[in-house]
Amino acid sequence: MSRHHTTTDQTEPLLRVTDLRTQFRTDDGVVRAVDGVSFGLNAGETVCLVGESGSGKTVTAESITRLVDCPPGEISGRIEFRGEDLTAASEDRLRSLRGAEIAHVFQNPQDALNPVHTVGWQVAEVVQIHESVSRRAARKRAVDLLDRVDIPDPAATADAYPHELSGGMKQRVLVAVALAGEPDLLIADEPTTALDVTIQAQILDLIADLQAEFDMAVLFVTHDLGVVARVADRVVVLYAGKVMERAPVDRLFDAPAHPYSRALLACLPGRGESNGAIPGNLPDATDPPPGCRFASRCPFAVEDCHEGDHPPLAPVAEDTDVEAGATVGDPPAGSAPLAASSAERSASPDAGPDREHVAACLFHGEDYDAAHLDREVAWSAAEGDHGE
Amino acid sequence: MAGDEPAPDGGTARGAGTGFEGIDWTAVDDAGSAGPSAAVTAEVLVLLGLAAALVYDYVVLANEAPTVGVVGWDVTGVEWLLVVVLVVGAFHAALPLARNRRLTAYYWRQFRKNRAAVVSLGFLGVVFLVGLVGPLIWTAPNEAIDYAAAYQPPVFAGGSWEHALGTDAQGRPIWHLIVYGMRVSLEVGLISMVFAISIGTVVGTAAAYFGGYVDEALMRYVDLQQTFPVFILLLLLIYLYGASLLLIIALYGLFSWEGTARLVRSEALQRGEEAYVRAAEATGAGRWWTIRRHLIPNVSSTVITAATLSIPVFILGEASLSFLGFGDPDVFSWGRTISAGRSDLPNAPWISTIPGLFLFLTVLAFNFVGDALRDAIDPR
Ligand code: SF4
Repeated sequence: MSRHHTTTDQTEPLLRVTDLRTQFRTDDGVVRAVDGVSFGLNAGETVCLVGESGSGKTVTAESITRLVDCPPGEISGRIEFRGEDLTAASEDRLRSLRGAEIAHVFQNPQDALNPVHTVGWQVAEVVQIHESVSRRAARKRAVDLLDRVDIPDPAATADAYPHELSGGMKQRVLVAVALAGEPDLLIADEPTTALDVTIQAQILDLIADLQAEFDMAVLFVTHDLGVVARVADRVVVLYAGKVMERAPVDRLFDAPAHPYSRALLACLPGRGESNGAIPGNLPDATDPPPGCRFASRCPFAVEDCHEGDHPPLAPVAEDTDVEAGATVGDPPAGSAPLAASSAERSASPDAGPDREHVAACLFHGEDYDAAHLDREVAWSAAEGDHGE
Repeated sequence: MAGDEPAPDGGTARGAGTGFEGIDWTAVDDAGSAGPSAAVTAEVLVLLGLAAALVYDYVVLANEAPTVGVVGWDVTGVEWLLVVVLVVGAFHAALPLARNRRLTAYYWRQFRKNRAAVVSLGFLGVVFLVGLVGPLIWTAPNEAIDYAAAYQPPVFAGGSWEHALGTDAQGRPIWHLIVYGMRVSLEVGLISMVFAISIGTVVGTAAAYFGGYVDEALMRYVDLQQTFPVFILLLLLIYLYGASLLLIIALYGLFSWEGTARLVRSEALQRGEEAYVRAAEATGAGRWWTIRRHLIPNVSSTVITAATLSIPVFILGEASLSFLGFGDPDVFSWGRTISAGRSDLPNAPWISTIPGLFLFLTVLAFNFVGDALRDAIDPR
């Protein structure tokens, strides 16, 4: 695991997304897939975008280099990469960034490799797109990269077609493809979801190793909080296209502030009694009801939650969190890795600029008392009288 | 086969070596910074050479002397086209297949599972070779007229070995008619196919790529063309200008690409949604690069199958025209021979039935091969 809290000298983040809005014009109206999302990402750091499917996390990730089809998509807001606003960048400029400075790893390795080309060809292709090197040099780089992602016998494997490799091997190849341009930012969209558990762990370790070696920042998109606990430095929790909470990973696990984050955590095996999904559905993305996006599923919702705009992000007070952490409950002994890593991180007393902890809930705003969220019973009980 | 579109492996060129190291990387692609590859240069040179020869044939020799003096072969317009098609086929089908041995071997293993298709392929290979070089070996039917030898039955019906397949009413050996008929079928099938498939692929890809109004306009035109009575236009043109093989081939080629265009368009649209196309875009590949390297190779399996299955349609179409008497009077199409033998069916059935059998087997073989190809080269 790579922890890069080397950010004291870092004033300008590598990537700063401000009020990102990605909409799709469809026959049924405008789908606001991403509706005002902001977060930053420092060099060498890992930030996780977390949320259920439909939360807008993938669209957020793909908006950064405009991989979403525009039209029908429309991207607004600011996406500053090293200070350059990518929303205003030309397609040519973005193309030269993609793969070279900002690389992507996608969810399904099966489909992300072209079946008619050898995997070596597909790695060499990226080298050739971005550098005017000879084919021989590109080939050599491809073999080196395959070696670097721990593919056994890289020279022979380079010759294989995707259907001849296992899922884990294919994902390694895709990591090699992503590394080929020596990017500063790797956007990994559920890179392990399609793999089985042991392979998942290997791929996560591989990405962490490479991150340390190449000093890459990683934007990790996932719905899996187990993965978050493993890889994240900071977490952005998304729901219905909005940021619900931004927190350092230890704070999110120890002291989740937003009811939605708490719900997600309660769904983790070994945390709380709930298992499976949060009851209820995402609000309509074309015409969301007024007020907090989470209101229809939130057990703490009060009348004000159903009115006006989505609550703004407000800083989370320290003391509330301690209680909240207690409320969500100490993990049972079974979930030792999570507990250990959380404890370890809480112990580290760093309170730099990246210790920001904000949540978009009325109860963290000025007019309400966050303690209200703690006066309720634990999430699982709340779920009981709200859901089913 | 030889005229087929590029194999679905685009530029994964491979040398004789088995390892990645053995790949002939200088031939891998022609889009890199190093300029066009050797293969492309060679192809352009050969085609330029052909163009020069064509000019020489028409300007210097005019119609005075045969083009290739040694064998007395005066190359006709259709034959020029056939040569061009064969050159293109050699560079875009045979060469990539020879380079990508492993992929070729893989396809072959898949293809081999279909016994009928393997036999068919062998038969078509013979038809191809005989059709290509046969006319240089055996004299043209009209120069072999020998009334003394008329109506000789084939050897299996009591004839002599001199004319193993018998002779027709003017004493022309049936074998010579068959050989020249193979040449005609070869020309009609391959040239029309290359025309139709090229136009269809370009239109289909353009429609899928540009989308919107371009797509709309192209596809409406395709609808229009599909309902257009090509046969009547053909009859009209034949009536006006006289029948010629070139005219028939051109009309078939220019008016029968709608199916391919539709197929390629829907396939390209579908493949455009595939994750690997998006993944390629995420690595910074440009739109054109993505189309050429990722879309077209994956669409080409569809194109190859469509191409193979379109050849027999053209051959059969030309044979029907000739049978009805609308064919080129200067060429010995199988349809024409079948037609000529009709009146002799009771006393000399071999005149019609032998070319009929060849026509039937050729069409059947193409269909077998096309079906087996579809199963063998599907990239998924
Ligand atoms: S604002 Fe209201 S509805 Fe939204 S999360 Fe907070 S309590 Fe729940």
